[in-house]
Order: sequence, then structure tokens, then C-alpha cells
Amino acid sequence: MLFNSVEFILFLSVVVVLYYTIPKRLQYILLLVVSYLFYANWNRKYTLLLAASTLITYFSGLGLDICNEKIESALKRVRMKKIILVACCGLNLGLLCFFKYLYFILHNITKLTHYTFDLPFDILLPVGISFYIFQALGYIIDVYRGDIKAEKNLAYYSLFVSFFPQLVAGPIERSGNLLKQLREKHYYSDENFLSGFWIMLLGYFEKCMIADRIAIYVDAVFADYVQMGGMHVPLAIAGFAIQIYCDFSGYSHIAIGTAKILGIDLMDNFRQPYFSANIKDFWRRWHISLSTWFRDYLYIPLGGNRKGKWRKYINLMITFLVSGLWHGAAWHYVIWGGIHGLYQVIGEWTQPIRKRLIKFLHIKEEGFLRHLCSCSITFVLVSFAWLFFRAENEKKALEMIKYSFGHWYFIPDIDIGLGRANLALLLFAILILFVLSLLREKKINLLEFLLKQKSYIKFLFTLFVTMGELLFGVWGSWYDASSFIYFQF
Amino acid sequence: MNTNVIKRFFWITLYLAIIVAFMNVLSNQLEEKGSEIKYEHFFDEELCPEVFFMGTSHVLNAVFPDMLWTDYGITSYNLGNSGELCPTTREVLLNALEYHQPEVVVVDLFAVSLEDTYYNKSFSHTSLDAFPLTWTKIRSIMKLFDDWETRAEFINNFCLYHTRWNELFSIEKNENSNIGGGEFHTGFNMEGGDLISSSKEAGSEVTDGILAILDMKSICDERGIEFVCINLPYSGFYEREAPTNYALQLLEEQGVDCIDFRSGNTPLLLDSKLDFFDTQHCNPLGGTKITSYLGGYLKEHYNVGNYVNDERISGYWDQYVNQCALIREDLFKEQIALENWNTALMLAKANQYLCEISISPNGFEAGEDTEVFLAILDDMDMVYEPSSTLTEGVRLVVRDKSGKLIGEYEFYGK
Repeated sequence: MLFNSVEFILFLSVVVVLYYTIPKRLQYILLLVVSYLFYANWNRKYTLLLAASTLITYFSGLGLDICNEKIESALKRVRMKKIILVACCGLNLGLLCFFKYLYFILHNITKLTHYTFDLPFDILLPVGISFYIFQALGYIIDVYRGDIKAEKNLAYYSLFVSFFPQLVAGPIERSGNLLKQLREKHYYSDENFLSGFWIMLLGYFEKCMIADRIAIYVDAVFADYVQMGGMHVPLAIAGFAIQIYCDFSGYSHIAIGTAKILGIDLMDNFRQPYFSANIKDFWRRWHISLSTWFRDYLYIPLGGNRKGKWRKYINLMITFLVSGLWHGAAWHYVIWGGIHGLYQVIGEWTQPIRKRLIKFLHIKEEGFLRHLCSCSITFVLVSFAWLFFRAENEKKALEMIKYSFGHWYFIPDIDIGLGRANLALLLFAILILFVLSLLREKKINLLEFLLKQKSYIKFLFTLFVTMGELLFGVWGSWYDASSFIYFQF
Repeated sequence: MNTNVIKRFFWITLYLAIIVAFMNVLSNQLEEKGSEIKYEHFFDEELCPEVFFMGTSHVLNAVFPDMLWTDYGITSYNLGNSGELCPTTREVLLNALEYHQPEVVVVDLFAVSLEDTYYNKSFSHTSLDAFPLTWTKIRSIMKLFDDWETRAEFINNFCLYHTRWNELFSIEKNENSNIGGGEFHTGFNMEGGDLISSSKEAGSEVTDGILAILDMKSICDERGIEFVCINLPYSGFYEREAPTNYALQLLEEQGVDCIDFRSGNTPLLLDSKLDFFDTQHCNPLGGTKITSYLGGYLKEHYNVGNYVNDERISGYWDQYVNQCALIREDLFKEQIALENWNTALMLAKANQYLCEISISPNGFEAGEDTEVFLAILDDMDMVYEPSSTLTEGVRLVVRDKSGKLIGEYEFYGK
């Protein structure tokens, strides 16, 4: 069930009531059961896959602990641990490759060799597989490194992998943070409930007021930009940049808010990424759980920046190419990742030159104009990369750029999918989000401020925000007047 | 229970109550008005319909309750809806029976060959939205729709109509006519087509439609309501003949009264060009003929026409018929204003107006084909005279049945 569905609201309401009324020692069991029910709602068969990944990493963790306790010879211990780690990662990544990348791999082999594969079965991509497998891999690597001890309780561990708020779209949690919280008893607190609910409202605002609304325009342009004029292309790309941020951030906020209501703190996944002054900064603010995962479990093990400049650049490229591939089994995702890798490499390489240029031009380091320019340039660079993420394929992305430069006009009286009223509402909603982001950037904690207010103010605020989102949000079916037109049957 | 728990319970309940009220109020403002128009008078206590007419848009355009009252003293309501499949018709019946107990339910079999519970959601909204939310309606919604998103949309249609927020202060009423639930659709079917089916082939598959019809029969039997099936005339759709014949067979075996207009066995003969506005649907002229036939049939065979001497109900119906007369008059005048002379005359005939038609010796000078026009007048059995005073065109003087002048018109072709 989607987060922005009536089903989810009903489901969550029941879970919360049960969670705080059952004996505290059973809370984690309840969460485990509802997490699997939540996943089964997507596809019952794939709960077995979730369970398989869980069991593989659970037993591998136990195996690693046994190695630490029982194997005295350091050499043997390291070798055995490596075998367990490699086997565990291999199996999990094997599952991921099979379900997510098999068609992609076979398709590319076919392209190269002209040999056609005829699979006797269809493979459906299991929802959230990239997220929970990475979460499980993070755990096993942490155990291997000795950062944490293996979790002995299978139920706690299973809950760590399957915790429903972050199961299908993150944040990818770290075992050190989440596991200990799952073991604790959670008592109801108004503060947690309200904070969590308000964070969820923010998530719904981002998703339903902005992302799903701007998607109408973006989809219209990407489907038929030739009919609209080239000037719509960059606007749609910028629109997509906002769409993907609000969509993903919205989902993350709903997940974080849901967990908060249950007394669990998940990590922040976005930190005003479009306020970034450079690409490096962007990746410290965008999908933080994933970028830190890649940093800690791929980039650093590859050597990070400890093996010289050129090795650093190679490591960056590998990390970003893999990150692109993680996002989707298609070359245009890899290209998107590669572009970001290139940005980082070029950014690193040109940093001394840029510093000298800024000094030469006497531009203030902390000046507002400089910061605005940096943010704008970063936004343009990021948006350009998003084109490859959003387009059907790399060829289409290049065609759009070419068309845009050659047809630099708007075609008048074109249906862009959004009427005036919706466009005005969209711009207003983006303005609100900008203000909220600015407050967060300035470290002004709106949540704390609201929590200190009187009950009736908190109540009215919650009520008006809910009413606004219910009325103006894009959810449920979209009313189409033409389908009501008298059609003779 | 400690004070904190009570406080929390209070705030949450208040919050939910306000949200639900908000959604209900706005839902009434924002919802598409088709269903409200359709069922405008259905919930009036004095309506006391003795007959429910049910089915698809074939029924919608073919039965006029105001005429059934005026000519036969039968009270009725036309519950036909566009795109309404039989399972939906069954649920409409169940909901309608919460408000009235008719003597007879008449159901058209056009959709009986189809599987699925509904054709499309917008038509289903028209069929169901106007019914208040009761357990019967909730059960209907659960039966007709599989997914919770659609169910939520029908339980509280705010889920659908909230996206009309920008029309909150500019909602206009639906312009469709409502004649006792029925609708007029004007025009002629120039394609024509064969309204009689020679196929006697009967299928053997029990469709969702057939099951729903049989269910409806059981529902009526339980409540002592007579159940009649009709197969209204239409051209084409040959693939439906076998399943419809099978349904007729099954129903006749169960003793159900079936009137099959497509068999050619009824005395009613319709013209596929004159009486239809497309290959499937009657225009007002065809609808008048169907209504007249059904009125006579029901009066002869069933216990209807019982409210003629009831002052309260007949008073209500007389007033209601007067309202329908105004709607009919408006539609007629609209066609006059648009200079759609053929359609205007067809409406005049359907409205049972008295028309004095005089034609100049030259007919229409240019444009309109005088011969075609005269042929239509002949087909509609409308009397016309040559005019000694008119130099060109046609003169029309129209009065209603009581002799009240509707208007005098002259037209000269297009």
C-alpha cells in the first residue's frame, strides 16, 4: 500500500493504537508482524525473498561472532570471516542482481552477441529490494568490522530489515542506530506523536501538493515536447528536479514521521539539497542514507582518498557509476551516476584554479551573491544530470537537448497539463517549501517552536494543514470532466 | 482513565469529526451534479412510484414517467443510467428499495451479456452518488468495487471531487433534462438499421449480467414485487443476441414476463431513422411510443394506477407533470431558436402538442430540401396544409393539449 493512500492511514491508525496498548515486551513482535503484512500487501510471494535475505545475513552475523569467539588463530579467523562476508554479500547481491538486473544483463548480452535468451519465467522487481538488501549488507559489514555485535534475537533482526516505515523507500538505516531503538520499550508521548504527525504532514505536502502536481507538467513535456516548444524542455527538467526531490523527500518524511509516532528516530535523508554550493555539498545533503552507505561501504573500502589523487578519482567514478546502477537497471541511470562522478572529479581537479580565480576577482567567500551563484550553478548542473535520469533512455535525453537549442520558443495555447489555478497553487506551494527549507537551513527549529505552543494553537495548525492538503493535494482519483460527459451506452 | 488520556481522546475525536464534516460539506459542493439531477425527485415521499424502470441509457431515453401519469395514471421513476451494467443495476435496486416499494420492477436486458460489475467509475457515480450513505450502500460499494481506493471514492466522493477545488465557487448545474429520471436526446439516426433480430440462437454461458438479473428477480420475489424484463429495440450488437436470448429463455422458464421488442412479436413498430437519435437510443418520439406501449401493457397486466384518486399523491404528480411540461417546452423552444425545424417538430409530436402547419406554395426557397421536410412530416403523421397567405417557407402554430399557445413560428429553411 502506498503511503498516500487511505489504506495506509487506516493501517497506521490500527498499528499505533495496538502498539501503545499491548504489553511493551510485545511491541517488537507486533511491528514485525505488521511489517511483513505491509510488505505482503505489495506481493505475498516476495515476503519469502525478504525473509531469505534476513536469514542469510542473520546467520552470517552469528557466524562472524562465532569466528570471533571460537577461532583463536588470527589468520584463520580473518580468512573465515572473509569467507562468510563474501558468501553473505554474494548471496544477497546475487538475489539483487537476479531480480533487478537479470533482464538488463541479458538484454546487453543480446545486443553484443545477437543471441536471444528465452526465459521460461517472468521476473517481477520486488518492491524495496534495493533498500532492504543494502540495509542488511550494511549490518553484516558492520558486524564484520566489529562496529557492532551480531544480533542474537532473530525477531529483532528481522524487524530491523523489514521495519515497515522505511522498508520500501528508505532511509537506509544503520544497524547501530535502529537495532538498539527496536529493543527498547516505547511509551506514548504527545511530543513524539505530534512531531511525527507534523513530519508526516510535511511529507504529504511535498508529495501531494508539489511532486504529484508538477509531475503532470513534467510528464506532458517529456511525452510530447515537440508539440510544446523547446523552452519547455529546461523548464520541465527543472520541474523534474523539484518533483524528484519532493517525491523522495516526501516519502522519507512520511517514513520518518511514522517511525517517530512509534517512538523511533530514523535518520534524516535530505538536508535542503538545492541549497548546495557545489556537487560535493549536494551529495552530503541528497539521499544522505544512500550516499553515506556508498561512502562507508564502497568508496572507503576501495581506498577513498588515501591512495593518491588519481586513485581517488577512479574510486569516485566507480562509486557514482554503481550508485547510478543502484537507481535503475538501465544505461541512462548509469550515465546519470557517471555525470555526477565526473562533476566530482572535475570539481576536485579545478578547485585550486577556482580558488585562485575567486581571490583574483576579490569575491567574498561568504558573500550572499557568491553563494547564490554557486547554488544556481549547482542546481543547473544537477538538473542537467536529472535529464538522463528521467528520460526514457540516453538517446531521448540527447534528442531533447538538441531540440531545445534548436527551437527556443513556446508554442502558444498548448495544454501543459496544468490549468492556471493549479499552476498558481503549485508555485505557492513551492514558495512555502522554500521558506520552510530556508528556516531549516538557518537552523530554526519550527517543530520545537510549534511544540511549545498552547494546545488549541497546535490543534488549529494541525487541522488547517490537514484540511488544506486534503482539499488541494493530488491524491485519490483525479476528476476528469470528460469521463462524465454524456456517453451513450 | 486519567485526564491525559481523556484529553487526547477529546482532541483526536474533535479533529476527526471536523475533518469528516469538512470532507462531507465540500463533497456536496464539489461533486459532479449528474447523480443529484438524476435522482432529483426520487426521494420525495409523495412520489410513491408503482414502477421502477431500470437498465442502461436505452431505458433512460425510452421511458417518460410524466407521460405514464398523464395517460395511464401510473406513478413511476426512470432509474436507467448510462453505462450501467446489471450488477450495478441490482445494487441500485437494493438502494432504491430503501425508499420506495414499487408494484413492478421493469429491467432492460441490453447489458445482460456483459461480465464485470461496472462499466466505468464516472457512470457508477451517476448511478450511486445520490443515495445517502447507508449500510446497504456500503455493501453495494464493497460488492461492486475491488480496490479500497475506489471504495473510498464511493463511500466519500470527496476523494474524487476534491480535485475540483478551483471550481468551488463556480459550480454550475448539469444541463441535462430530467423527466422523471428519464432524459431527452434529440436528433434522428440517419444511418437507420434493422431493429428486429431474426437470430433465435441462445448462448449457454451464465454471465455476471444474467446472475445479477436472476438476483434481482429473487429480491423482488422476496418483497412481493412483480418482475418484468424488456429487451428494448436497437440496431447492431449482434454478438449480444445469443446471450440475451439465453437470458430470456432462463427468465421465461422461471415464469418472468419478458417483452422482447427485438423479436418483432410486439405490435409496436419503431422506425430506426425517425424514432432513434443513434443506432441504440430512442429520441423523444421513439421514447414516447415505447412509453405509451409499456404504459398500456402494465395497466392491463399489473396492479398499477392506484393513486389516481389519492388527493395527496395525485396532487404531487400533477404538479410534477407541470414541471416536466415546462422542461419539455424549454427543449422545444431551444430547437426552434436553433432553427432545427425537424427536431422541433419531433419534440412537438413527442410532447403531444397540437400543431397547425401551413406550407407556402413554393416551400423553402433555398437550402433546406422541401421534399425531405415533407417526408418527415408524413412519417410523423403530422398534418399540414398549403397556405394561401404565406409566400415562402412554413408557418407553425403550436399549442399544448390544454389549448394554451406555446408559440407561432415562421421558418424559411437553412
